[in-house]
Amino acid sequence: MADSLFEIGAYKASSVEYEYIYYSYSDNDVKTRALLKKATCYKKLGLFPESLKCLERINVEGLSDSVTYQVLYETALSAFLSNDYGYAELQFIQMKLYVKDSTLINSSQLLYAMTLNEQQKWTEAEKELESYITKSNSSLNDSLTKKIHSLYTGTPKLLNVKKAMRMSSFIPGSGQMYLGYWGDGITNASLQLCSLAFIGYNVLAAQYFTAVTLGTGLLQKFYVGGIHRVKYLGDKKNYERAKKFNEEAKKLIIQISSS
Amino acid sequence: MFPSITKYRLLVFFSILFLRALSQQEHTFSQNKEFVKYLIDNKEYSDALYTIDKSVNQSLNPQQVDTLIYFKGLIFHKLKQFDSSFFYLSKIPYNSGWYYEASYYNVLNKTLLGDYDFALKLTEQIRYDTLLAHHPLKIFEEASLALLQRDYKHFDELLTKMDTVYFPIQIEQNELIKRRKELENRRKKYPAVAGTLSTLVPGLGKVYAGSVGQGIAAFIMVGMLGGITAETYYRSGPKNPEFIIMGSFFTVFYIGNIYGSVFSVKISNDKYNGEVNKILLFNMRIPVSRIFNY
Repeated sequence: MADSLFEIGAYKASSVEYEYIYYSYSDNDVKTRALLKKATCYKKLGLFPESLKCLERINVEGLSDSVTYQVLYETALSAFLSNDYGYAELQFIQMKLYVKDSTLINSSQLLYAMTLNEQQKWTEAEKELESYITKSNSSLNDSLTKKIHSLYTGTPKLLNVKKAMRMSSFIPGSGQMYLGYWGDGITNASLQLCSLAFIGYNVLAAQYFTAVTLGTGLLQKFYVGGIHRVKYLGDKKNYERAKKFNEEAKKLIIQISSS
Repeated sequence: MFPSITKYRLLVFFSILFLRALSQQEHTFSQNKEFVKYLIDNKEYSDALYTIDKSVNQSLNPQQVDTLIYFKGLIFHKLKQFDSSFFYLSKIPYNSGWYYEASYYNVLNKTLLGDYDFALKLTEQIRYDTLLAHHPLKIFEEASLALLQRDYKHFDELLTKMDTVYFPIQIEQNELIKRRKELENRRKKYPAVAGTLSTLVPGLGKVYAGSVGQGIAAFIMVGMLGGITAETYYRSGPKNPEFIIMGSFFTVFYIGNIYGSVFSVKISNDKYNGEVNKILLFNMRIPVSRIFNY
């Protein structure tokens, strides 16, 4: 009944029936298959975190090599689709430890490469893709290897945010300029200069209390605020660069999988 | 003789086939009931609701219908959709096997929706024609509601009726009595005192209200503006625009701090009451779920 509901696309009804199978049987193999199918139903419904939660209930102890692989792969896929890349990578590491049949693992290398890309581990991702191509024995091997190599030679240069923050600590505004945000840098530096001028003016007018409290208060706010802004801008720029590259990589991986 | 035996065998064979096909199509009511219980225990509420809705299509007797309605109300309660839960649980009649469960969960529903008066009325309306073991729960829930409303007179009346033997409510009941004493012994804070203190020393009213950090911050802020105002007054005189600007700032912050101190007492009282109510609400729910196993 669960399978026939699945076949006609009644995924919610089907998922409940698979849960019923899980509830009714004591055999771990049957329970595992029921949860795998229930997780697929959730994936079809676009409920990826629910799918992940469902797969986490599986007890992999005593399962066959192929079923263990399937559980780990589906868990990795659900974690990837839920944007939990660290957890997805963990599944691939477990796969290497627990699944003995290496031919099974080979088929998961593309997803593994995509997971590594999302975590900006581009060197490892390139190695995974090359290894996949080598094992696939496709007639397009050479051209694909070239494409992979040319894509990964152009990995984005991520900016050193800590360096930018250090720069702004010594020369106000310089961190922003290093990141390419010239307007931001000039504005922040000007505001800090104005605060200094305010302090100087009050000292000359012998208004020392005002200079110490209001003047230094303003200067401190602009100084610390500027450094925080550098961190925000740096992280934003790095994220945008990585995202752009990963989109290109995704297109190539899709091309590899269909070859 | 022989053909009739074959006929009989064929009939049995097809009957078995038919029954097997039927069992693959639909689960029985009792199977579904146990399955729904399992789903509720495992917090698979969406699946449980789906199974209930599917079961409604079967031909059921009134007791079975009540069971499904009760489960539906219970699930909505667990999902914190208290108004929907109230809607379903109110349909359970007195002669149903789920009457007490539904009644107590409805008291909780109305309490959690903040309608304490209605919840109290519901508690009073729970009928015990014959005294059941969980009868002391009624007094406990009434007393909890009285304390939520800070109706100490009503609470003290109920205190004399409380059961000291019925185990499932003892821990929470003792906690309730402790809270009653705590509320009585709490020193009341007055907004007027906070306002006066902040007039004398900026921030002191906030310290009185219990917000020491905010009090110190207000003292530094107002003190700093006061210092700058004084300095510009001595250096530039009262007609200087700098003095007028800084003096205005100082006045706004000084008066604002007094107003804030008055309010901070109200906030502090609300915070304390909110924390006490949260504990009372939590303790009201535990015995109900302990007694009725959900």
